[in-house]
Amino acid sequence: MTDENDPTADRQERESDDVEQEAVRSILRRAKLRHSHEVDLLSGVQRRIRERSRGRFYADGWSRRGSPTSTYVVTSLLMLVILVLVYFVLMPEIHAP
Amino acid sequence: MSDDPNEARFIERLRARDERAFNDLVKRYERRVFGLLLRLIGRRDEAEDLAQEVFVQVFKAIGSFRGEAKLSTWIFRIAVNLSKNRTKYLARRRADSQDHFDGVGDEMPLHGAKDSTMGRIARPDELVSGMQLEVIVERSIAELDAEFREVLILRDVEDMSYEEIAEITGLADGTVKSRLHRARLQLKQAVEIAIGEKIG
Repeated sequence: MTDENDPTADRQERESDDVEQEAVRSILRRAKLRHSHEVDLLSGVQRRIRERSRGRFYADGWSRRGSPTSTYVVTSLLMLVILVLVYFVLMPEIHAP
Repeated sequence: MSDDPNEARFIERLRARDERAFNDLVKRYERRVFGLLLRLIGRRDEAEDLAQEVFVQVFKAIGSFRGEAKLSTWIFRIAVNLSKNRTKYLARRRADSQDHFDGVGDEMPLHGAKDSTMGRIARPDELVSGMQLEVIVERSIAELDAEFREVLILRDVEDMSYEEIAEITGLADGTVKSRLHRARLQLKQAVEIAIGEKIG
């Protein structure tokens, strides 16, 4: 073991560690082992929590999605389209003599 | 508590069981937790199942998280502990099924074994030429002792500090360093033998 009070031995140990670390990391880089894996766990996690909490959590469909923003936007646009359609359908009748 | 005010607020939302905050947490950590478990266990189906279980445990136990460690460190500690239990369970199951097969072997006549074993083991030269480095390294890591594999992955794949690894594994700093040293040597040797050349 290294003597804790010996700075030279300490430095040598650190240098040897660095060399070793670089060698292993170079293997891992060459093996492309440090890339991240594609996975989607959210729906499975939500299902487990819903089941184990007996529906107390993640009970409604809104909270099960990652973000409801797109749902709000689509719903708003749909409402606008319906209003415009209703306007053009009723306009002729309003202005009819 | 956490020094980062954003993280502190986020943890408060998690404690309040805010489902949207929890969705963000899963999205933020799912790849790292899954990647870690995949390398610790070596099986995609088991790693995916266990990663989901990690987040369920986080959801259940977030109330007891005191913020002494970083949130990520706490999540990885849960992942490492669950993986240890699962590894033991899988090893027991393998041993049980091995006992079963040993029994079958005793009962089966010798000629029944011919087709099931012949040609299964490749010659070493075929093995090396046919395997990519990634497979060799994955296999070499999988063959490390579990206690060495754990620290090697946390340090050299996940890039964690010695302090974080000590917190996650519950080991002393010195033990982390010595295990890491031996893990790197074992891995280097195993890969060098497999590819037939010196590295570094």
